[in-house]
Order: sequence, then structure tokens, then C-alpha cells
Amino acid sequence: MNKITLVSLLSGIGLLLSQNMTFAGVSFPLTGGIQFVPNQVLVKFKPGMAVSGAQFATNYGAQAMQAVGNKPDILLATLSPGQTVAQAVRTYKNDPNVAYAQPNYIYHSAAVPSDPQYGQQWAAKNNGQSVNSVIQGEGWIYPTDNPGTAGDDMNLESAWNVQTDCSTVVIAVVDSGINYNSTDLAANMWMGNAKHGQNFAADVATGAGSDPMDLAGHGTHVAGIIGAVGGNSIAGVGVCWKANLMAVRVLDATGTGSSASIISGIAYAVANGAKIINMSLAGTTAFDQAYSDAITSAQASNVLVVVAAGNDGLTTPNNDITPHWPCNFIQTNLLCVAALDQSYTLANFSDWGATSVDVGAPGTNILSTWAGTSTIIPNLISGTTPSGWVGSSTTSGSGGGWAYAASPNIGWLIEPNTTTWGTTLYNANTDDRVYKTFNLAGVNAATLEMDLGINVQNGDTFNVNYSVLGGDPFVAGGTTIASITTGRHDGLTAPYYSGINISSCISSTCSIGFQLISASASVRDIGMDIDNFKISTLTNNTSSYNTLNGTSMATPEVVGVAALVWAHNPLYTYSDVENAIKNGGRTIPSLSGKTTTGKAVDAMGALAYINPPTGIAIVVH
Amino acid sequence: MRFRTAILSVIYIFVLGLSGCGGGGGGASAPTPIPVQHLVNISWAANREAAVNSAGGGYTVAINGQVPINVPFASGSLAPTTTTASLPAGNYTVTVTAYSALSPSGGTSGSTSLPSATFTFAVP
Repeated sequence: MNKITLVSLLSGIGLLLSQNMTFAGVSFPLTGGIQFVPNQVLVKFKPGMAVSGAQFATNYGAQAMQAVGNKPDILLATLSPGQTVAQAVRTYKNDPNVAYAQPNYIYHSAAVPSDPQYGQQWAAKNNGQSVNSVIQGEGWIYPTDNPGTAGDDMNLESAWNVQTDCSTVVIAVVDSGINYNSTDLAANMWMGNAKHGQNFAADVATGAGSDPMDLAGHGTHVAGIIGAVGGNSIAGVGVCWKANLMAVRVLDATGTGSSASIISGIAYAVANGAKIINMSLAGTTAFDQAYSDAITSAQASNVLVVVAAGNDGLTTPNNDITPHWPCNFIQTNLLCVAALDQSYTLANFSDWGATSVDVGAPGTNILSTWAGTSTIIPNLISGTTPSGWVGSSTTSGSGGGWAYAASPNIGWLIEPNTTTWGTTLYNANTDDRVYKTFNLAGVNAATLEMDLGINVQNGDTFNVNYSVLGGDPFVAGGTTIASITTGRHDGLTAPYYSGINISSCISSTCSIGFQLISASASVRDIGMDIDNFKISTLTNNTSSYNTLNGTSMATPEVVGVAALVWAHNPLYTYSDVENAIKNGGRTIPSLSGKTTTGKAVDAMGALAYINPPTGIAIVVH
Repeated sequence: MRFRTAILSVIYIFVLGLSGCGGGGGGASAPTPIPVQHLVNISWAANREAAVNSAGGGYTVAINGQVPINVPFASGSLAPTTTTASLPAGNYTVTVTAYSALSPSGGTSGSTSLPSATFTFAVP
């Protein structure tokens, strides 16, 4: 709902008359920046005015006088070149026919979107609300500071009075793709090709025109934070009500990508006109020269790259000590973002760095678009006798084959076949298999995760296979998705396997299995245990939402503000946009010593920021 | 307002000088020198902020830290980026500040930039 916000009329007039003095053609400053039409004055005439509007215009050299609305005694004077509003107001007020004269002030709509879930979007307007909106898949509610502190937000409603449309700025979301069919995103997608971008992730066909449809959800969430359509009465709203979102898919269905895919994605974005790149990506690998070079190339094309600080706040929070890439790259077109909670406290998961992280932005309990319906088929080994698992062994006895075990609330698949895992060694020269067939028909993506304890000796092999044909996945037609052959993984500490992409197995007969092959002369061990075995699926649709937490969510908040600023200031360079965000931010205690600026992004502050003038030259005659 | 005072003083001295010559009786006293005013053109690079280059925006130019000259946006795509001052001989500093109608708080108080780097010049 739009409404008019009244600014102080009387104080505006007083400001004009008292301070806008002129002498010898030199104007002294009108401080305060009241907005009015620069060549128009409203004139209210006294009853029984002795002159016509036309005569009044002639008397004072105005270009024209026209009636305002249906009020014949209020006329709008259009001034002639060289006349100022201040002069005219002062002159007209001295005319005995004039009751009052005033500038023709400029007003803006008080922009509050009509989207029904807007009340949950504390990053835009924090009124101390509790966030408890949609949660699915990997979504969760961050418990701290929920509700938070009213006013700890990005000051977006003020900014929206100035700018809601970012569509002149192409924003590349270099991520897991975007569900460009989402009803809250479709109208804001880049139209450079039929698929609104391109895929570079290896799990689906790559190359020109390949489909960047999001099979993970993350990229769609990021895209919605930047540019979910505003005012469409659907769910929530992006920082930009209108946007130009380019889908650059570099992460696969598990949310994983490589240097090659990311570099290709950056190059594509730059080559196709992106001005801002959102990279809610983080890794702790070694310095990646090729990745760094890609960002340098973007810099040469005046592209701003906004990146996430990383989510290792509970373990290695200081990026100045433990670098997270790309945050720790040093290009000047790189802006790195930490996550704040609903009271503008640094989120406990957020990385930070006094020299490497630039600003903070809302990153907890963020509602946004999602790529579809996410389903987690939980613990598929639950119960003491879970159904459907089929086992086999080439040896016999307690050391051969797989078994179930159950402890409270958790089920296990164990090898060897024993009720007390950890005390019995598996057989030598055995091939022990267990598998189950699942119906995954109709989903668009499927991933597998599990906790896995492995105790195998050199020469023995543990395999995880799937088969789209169903049945035993270790025969012809099966595909190996994990294989451990290099020796013992000491102890019972479970390697945690998440995000194994089994989308190629999507069918009504997807079998998944585990296999131990031991050597004939094997030094035997206690085998493996598997628990928390889950299959996560995503079925794309056009109307899903999710609530997530992370610096991944804080990053697009900043990107949206950058796009608002750039759209409002089309002459800006990336450096100007960055200056506006950094200098226009709000200083908050929790970021002191944790970022280069100590500031949280403030949309209105960034829009109002003005660079100091440069290039002064003097000519003395 | 100091500009105003300075310019008025110059005019006053000028009038006194004319009176002295016209009277014809002051031949023994030395003539009062009339300060020479020089026109000084001051220019700067246009700011890229849209709000500076639209209604309510513009620049102020401060010479020697005195009450600044206002150079408001009038029309077109950019606010003016030049102004002229009439100055007697001396050394001067000048800074330019940009302003707009946008307020960081979202209100109507407007905002200003930090001053430009100080530029020093001399009028001979």
C-alpha cells in the first residue's frame, strides 16, 4: 500500500526565506536539501483578487500560470529562465493579492510492499517481529535474537521511497542456478537467452544455452533476496522490486562446484553485461590463482563482485588468520560480507576479519524463494528391522554379510554381521553386499548423505553404488559413487558424507547399496557402520519458499543495495558503488574490529552518500 | 556574507577616490590605490550522483573557508560545475562540497559530501 508521507512544509518555507539569500548574482546556500520543482511556485490568491493569473504572470515575468486541480484561487507559476524559486516566493508574498506563495514541493510514495510475507522480512523492516516462516529441506530457524531489536534493519523502506527498480543493472547470481519459473522471480529474470543464463556445473550438460535451472535451492534463495518481485501480493519481496537476474549455475545439485565452473561462470557473467556478481560461495582451499584472475578480469570490466565471508564462525571465524576464498582475495572490486542477526549481533556462524571482511548484513532467518519442494527421506535404516534391504555374502559365519543394529532413536547398517559391532572382524576373501530400491520418480534432483564409520585394512575395498535399474547395484549397470580402497580410516570417528549426487539415479527403481570386498590374505578389521542414511530430493515448482541462515544470505542483501545504488546512479563505477555501501553504512558495535568498516549496510545511507568532488581547476583572469 | 561586505567596501573606496579627484584641492596627498579585482573561474569534475545532478542538488564552493557560493542544479543532466568569483590579489584556498536532497535517514534534511581536497591558488 502506498501512502504519501508529508514533509514539514512550514519548516521548508522558513528555510528558504531565511537562508537562500542572493547578492550580486551569487546565491548563498540553501542548506537542508528540501526537494521542490526548481522552476515552479504555487500561489494562493486572496478572495477578490484584483488581477488575473495571466496578468500576474506578466507582472512578474513568469512564463505561465495554470490552475491547480479545481481550485481557481491556487495557481501554479512557471518561472522564466534565470528566476529562482526563492526570489519568486519572496516577491509574490509581497503582492497584496497573494495570500501565500510556496515552492512546489516534491513527494514520494512511502513504499511498503503488498507482499503478504513482508512482515517476516526483518532485514527490510525490523519491528521486533518473531520470524517463524516457511521452513523446508535445509531450512532452519536461528534461535538467537528472534525476535530481535526494532530498527536493526537495512533502512529499506526509506530507500524504496527513492528507488525500487534495479532492472537497469544486470546482476549475475553465480550459484546453484535459479528457478527462473518461480512466480516471484520470473518477471525479474535476465532475458539474454531463453534460459536466463547458463549452466557450467558438471552434473548436467554444459555449454552454450545449457539450462541453469536450480536443482539445489541455494541460488534461488539468493536470487529472491536480491530481486523477488515487489508488490505482486505474493510471499515476500526482494531488495529490488524489479531486477535483472542472470542465472549462472556453477554449483551442482549438492551445492558443490569447481574452480573451472566458477571461473567459467564469472567470465560468462562479465561477457554478457553483468555489473554485479553475487557469489555466496566460500571455501578454505589454498589460494586459487585462476579464481583470483577471474575476479581481476571482472574488475577490468567495471564489475562489482560481492562475496560471502563464510560460515565457519564456530571453528575458524577469523578470515585474517584462516583465509576463506573468495573473501580473502584483495581486488578492489571485491566486497566481502559477514552475517548479522536480528539484533545486529554478529551471527555465531559468521566468519569475520578486520582486514578481509568489509561490511555486515542481515543473515539469519531470511525468508526467500526456493527452487521447489525439498523432501528429506529420513534415516532409511531406522528401526530394528527396516524393510526392503537385501543382503548377500560370499562367506558365512558371524564375519560375513551385513546386519541391522538399533540403538535408541537410531538404526545402523553394520558389517560384519554381528549384534555387537566393534568386536567381530569381517571375513577374509568375502564380497558382502546390501542394497535397497527406492522410488524417486518425479523429482528433479536427489542427493545422498550418511554418517559412515570405516575400519578396513589395506587391500580391502568399501564401495557405495547405485543403479537406475534397481536390484543389485554392484552388477552391470551399477555406478560407483564412493570407493575407499587406500587403507584404514582409523578409529570409529565417522566420516560424514553429505551431498552425494544421485540425480542420475532418479527413477522408480533406484537401488543404492554398500559393498565390502576383502582380500584373501587380508589383515581383517571390524568393518563399517552406517547411520543417518538419508536421501534428499528437490522437485522444482513455481511457488516454494524457505528460511535460511548464512553469510550466503547476507551477501545478496548487499548485492540488492548495490543494485539500488547503481540503478539510481547510472554514471557510477564499481568503486563508487562500493564507496557508497561502505561509507553509507551504519556503525554498529558488533562489527567493530571485525570488519574493515565496522558498519552494517544501510540502503538509504548508501543512496544518500555523496563522493567528495574532485578535479578542481582555477583560472584567474 | 563576508563577500558582500568585501565588495561593498571596494565600491566605497572607489566612490571616495572619485570625490577626491573632483574636488581639485587634494594635490599634495598621495592617491588611494584602488584594489584590482580579478575574475576567477573555479571549475571541478561533475559528481556522478544523480541526486547531486537533480532538483535539490548541487555544489557549494568555499573560498578561504568563507560562506560558500551556492551552485545549485538548475536543469539538464548535470548540475553546473563552474562558478566565478571576483577576488583581490592574495593567496586563497578553495574547497567544493556536493549536496543533494536525499537524507541518509530517509528524512528531508538532505546530505552533503565531505569537502573536496583543498586547492590552493594565488591571485596576482
